[in-house]
Amino acid sequence: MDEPAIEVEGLAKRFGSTRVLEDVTFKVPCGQTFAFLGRNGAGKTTTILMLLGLLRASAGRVRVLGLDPRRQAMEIRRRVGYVAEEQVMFGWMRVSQILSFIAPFYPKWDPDYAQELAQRFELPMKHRVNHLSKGQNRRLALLLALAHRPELVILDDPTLGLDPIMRKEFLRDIVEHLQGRGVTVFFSSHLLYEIEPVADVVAILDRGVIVKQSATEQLREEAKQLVMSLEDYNKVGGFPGTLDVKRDGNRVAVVVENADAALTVARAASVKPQVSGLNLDEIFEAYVIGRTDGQVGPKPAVERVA
Amino acid sequence: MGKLVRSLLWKEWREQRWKLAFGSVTLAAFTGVGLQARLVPDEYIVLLTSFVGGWLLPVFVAMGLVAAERGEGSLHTLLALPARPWVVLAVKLLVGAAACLAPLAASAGIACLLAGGREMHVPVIVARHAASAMIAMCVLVWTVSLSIRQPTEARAGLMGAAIVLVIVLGIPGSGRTERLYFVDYLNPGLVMRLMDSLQLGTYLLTQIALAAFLFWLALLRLPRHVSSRI
Repeated sequence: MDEPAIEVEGLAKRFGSTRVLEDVTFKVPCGQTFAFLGRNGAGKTTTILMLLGLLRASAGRVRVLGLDPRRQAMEIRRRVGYVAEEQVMFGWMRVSQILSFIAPFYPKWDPDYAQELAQRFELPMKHRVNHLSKGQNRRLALLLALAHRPELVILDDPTLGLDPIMRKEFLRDIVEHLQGRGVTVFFSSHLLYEIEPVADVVAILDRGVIVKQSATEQLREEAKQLVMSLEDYNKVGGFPGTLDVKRDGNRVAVVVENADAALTVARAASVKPQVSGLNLDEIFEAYVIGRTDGQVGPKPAVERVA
Repeated sequence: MGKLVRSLLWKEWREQRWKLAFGSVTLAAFTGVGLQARLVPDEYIVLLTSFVGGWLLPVFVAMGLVAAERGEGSLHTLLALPARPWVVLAVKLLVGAAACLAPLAASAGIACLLAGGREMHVPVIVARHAASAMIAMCVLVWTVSLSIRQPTEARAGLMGAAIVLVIVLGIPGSGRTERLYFVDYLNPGLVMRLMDSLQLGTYLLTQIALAAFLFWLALLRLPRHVSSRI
């Protein structure tokens, strides 16, 4: 079996008394697009910085392309393409100058491919970096991350600050240039809908802890919403793996982790809930802000919904 | 020289070259005009240019080496490249040193040409400027190292000014050069008081060791820019 591109085991990070990550464990298989989801401040960037050896872990074991970021950070960075969140580049450089500046850092830098990407991304080579639009800036960052033909690409919220059309174009570039070539992609984001069409595997990070990791398809197949009357809900008395409970008048909508297990429980109570599928956005919402006590926002609690 | 180092040198040179040009032109022009006008004794002019070149210019240069990039946010991009942090920092200091030394060299050249042997002998003028160059190197390393986590140029400059003040106030008085303690040798400004070659040797060794320690300290503190980001 192939070695995973990224292997993280029991990773923890503390800044003084602040716990940022706790016992984070996941594997990213080679050639897959791994979506690392979490709200702002969940610990995504911290994890990425530790993958690249830019930050030391407080505990745990990390392997990137079979290398240890503590001891082999340079080798990892040579073989990995990295687009940072809101990456600031050297504004005074022209696009052509930044390409010449970055090239010597990577032994496998491919100048022809860099030129090809610059043309495809429609980057004006003579413009200064600080005169580029946000979209062009992100594309330049992507170009710099790809032109050395990396085995693994780490994207840290790469579409942050882009408008919806630019986001879509950026994602199209990723699909076109990475997935087509079998490159492993580690894509961190808090925007689920953008990652849904490209992700093979999803991990949800919440308050420094991985709350779910699964294949995207499997996650969509398993996590469902069951809608029933309040009377039926009370009859069942709760579902296993409940992530979120919402009440609207006499109707109760329950998001469960495993629809099959929940339906078995419902059948045992002679209840036939209406089952509906969820998109990744809704599943993510249920995992990170779902409330199993039936209270949504300032609404009062339902009598027996608990 | 590796391609990587050449690339880093190119970047730092492009970022610092105007400071180098500004420092050289200003200091050389001041020296030239001051010595030609002869309004004050030549020694005053040399003393003043030495003070500006040795104490103030390195703070001005140091502000732009790390703090400016940290403030802009490009330091993260630089440190995420496959280059060892000590190489990045060493290249920055090397170019910073050139930006500090070139103005002093220009000033020394002008002073020797215009006033050498007039009121001061050429070796004395050169020695004064050499002492200033030594101070400039120390102030540069001290300021870069101790202000490495400052988020803006202005704050790094303020810290540099405080460092200069502490060093100047700590220079032993002229009556004390006969009895120097180890702590006195830690002060870069001591070079202005030293005449004895044995003392000068001790001073140089102490300063080199101190600079090495400060470089190591700076390296430890350099990547901390990411600690506040989650």
